[in-house]
Amino acid sequence: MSINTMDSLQQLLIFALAASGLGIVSSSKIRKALNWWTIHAVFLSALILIEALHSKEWETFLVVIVSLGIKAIFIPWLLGNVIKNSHTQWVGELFLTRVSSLVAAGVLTLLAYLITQPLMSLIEPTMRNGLAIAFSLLFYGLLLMIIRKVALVQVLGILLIDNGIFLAGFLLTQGMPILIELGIFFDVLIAALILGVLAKRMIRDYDSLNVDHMNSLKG
Amino acid sequence: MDFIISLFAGATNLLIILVLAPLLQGLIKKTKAYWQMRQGPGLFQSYRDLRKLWTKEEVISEHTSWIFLRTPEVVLASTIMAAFVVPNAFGWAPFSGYGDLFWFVASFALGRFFIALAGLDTAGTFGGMGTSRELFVSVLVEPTFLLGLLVLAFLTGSTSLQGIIWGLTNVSIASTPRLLAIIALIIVTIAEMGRIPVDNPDTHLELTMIHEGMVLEYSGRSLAFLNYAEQIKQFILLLLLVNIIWPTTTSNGFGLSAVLIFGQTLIKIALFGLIFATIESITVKVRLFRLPNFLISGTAAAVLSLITFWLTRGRI
Repeated sequence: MSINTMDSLQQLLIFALAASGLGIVSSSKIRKALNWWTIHAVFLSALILIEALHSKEWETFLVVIVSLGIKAIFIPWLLGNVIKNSHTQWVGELFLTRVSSLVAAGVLTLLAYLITQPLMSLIEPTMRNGLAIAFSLLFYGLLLMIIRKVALVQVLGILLIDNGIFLAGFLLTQGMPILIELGIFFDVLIAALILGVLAKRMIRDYDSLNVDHMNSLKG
Repeated sequence: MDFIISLFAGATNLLIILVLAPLLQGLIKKTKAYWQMRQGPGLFQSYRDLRKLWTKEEVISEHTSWIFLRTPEVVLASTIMAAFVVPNAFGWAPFSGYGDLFWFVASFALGRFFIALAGLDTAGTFGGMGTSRELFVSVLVEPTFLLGLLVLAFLTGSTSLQGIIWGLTNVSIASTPRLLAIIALIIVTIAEMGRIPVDNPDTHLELTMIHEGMVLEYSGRSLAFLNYAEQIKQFILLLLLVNIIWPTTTSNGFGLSAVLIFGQTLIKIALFGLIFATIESITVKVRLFRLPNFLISGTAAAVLSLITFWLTRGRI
């Protein structure tokens, strides 16, 4: 694989990451959002795989396997189980409808390109999109957590933020030390597990995933 | 000497397009028949149809004007005009110059203009209906077509189709702008060929027909002209698409390797014909008012390809 092809593939995967992030924002059902997340995780692993093929370090290959296992297989399986138990597919679009949240996400993408402008001179030119899109993924996650009322979609928001930070770190450092990477993955895993348990309890107690029910606990 | 060789090569290229266009049509029909579990007409049925129409008597309504009479010639001529700038299997076009991608799109637009007028000219209801639908589709398709080709022109730094094909050999197939432009051009090709999600070429059912509605009043030799023009258009659109996806360029046009490259390109075109026939067999025609959704996704791909081109190449 030539450097030219490798570079194009990386760019393509970065754009695909942005597109699948937008897919999560615009999904009409939780199941669809989860499918988009799976695709997103696969794209992220593929991006690391290309870097691994480029640098030929076994540690990076290990990161690919762990990332694929946790983000693309375990988390979708865990959240898929929760979705099966819940009785609704509603994504909780109370504040913004799907179309207007997509417009908001587009504006946030522009904002991400704007705020990463001063950093452009620091990194190599082929990666300047990657940093901007890492920031826009972070923004999509924040947006999802603000505008959606259903706990599972908010979990996807957290995971999206994590992916954004991971992507930014990965692009800036060309592969962090293996221990730090594993630590990050473990954090994500535990967070997803806890939130999965929380969602299960919410279904048991309120028969719903709507986070508004949590307020009613206040005496 | 060089000039004479290139002229000869250009004429050969054109001749191949003219000869093989009905064969491609036959192949597509055969594939569709296979998917419908029929035996279908033979591969050479299109040639026989054209010969039959050529010898048939022509019926012309007395209310028509010269536009109706001249349209078949104009449509065939404009399609052949478009064929002049399409590069052949070796990446050489009979004629090439600055901006001939506009020439390519404009030739199709000229043919469409006349065929739309002819559809109105007979004052039949089907003709008017077909015309209005055709123009509705073309309004959505032509900007995408131009934009998709223009992105490729930006990508390769040339506005002639030959220059684009040569430039594309240096651009990776995985490059995002090129992939998105290819998606846009595939959707445009389906619409321009009048194939199934957009138009159904096999039926004269009034609810569905677009192209057939306009040519309904034609018979005999004029119909042969129009059908032939449609087959040539289909062939050169697929040739262009094949060249954009897998460009093969070579400067020595003689010898065994030339024959191999030529055969490869023919196989690729046949493959694309098979793929489009398969798409046609496994999808349904969309309702006319749902059509913008399908065509706009092509336009969106073209616009995104321009944006990603700007993001990956330009200073932000």
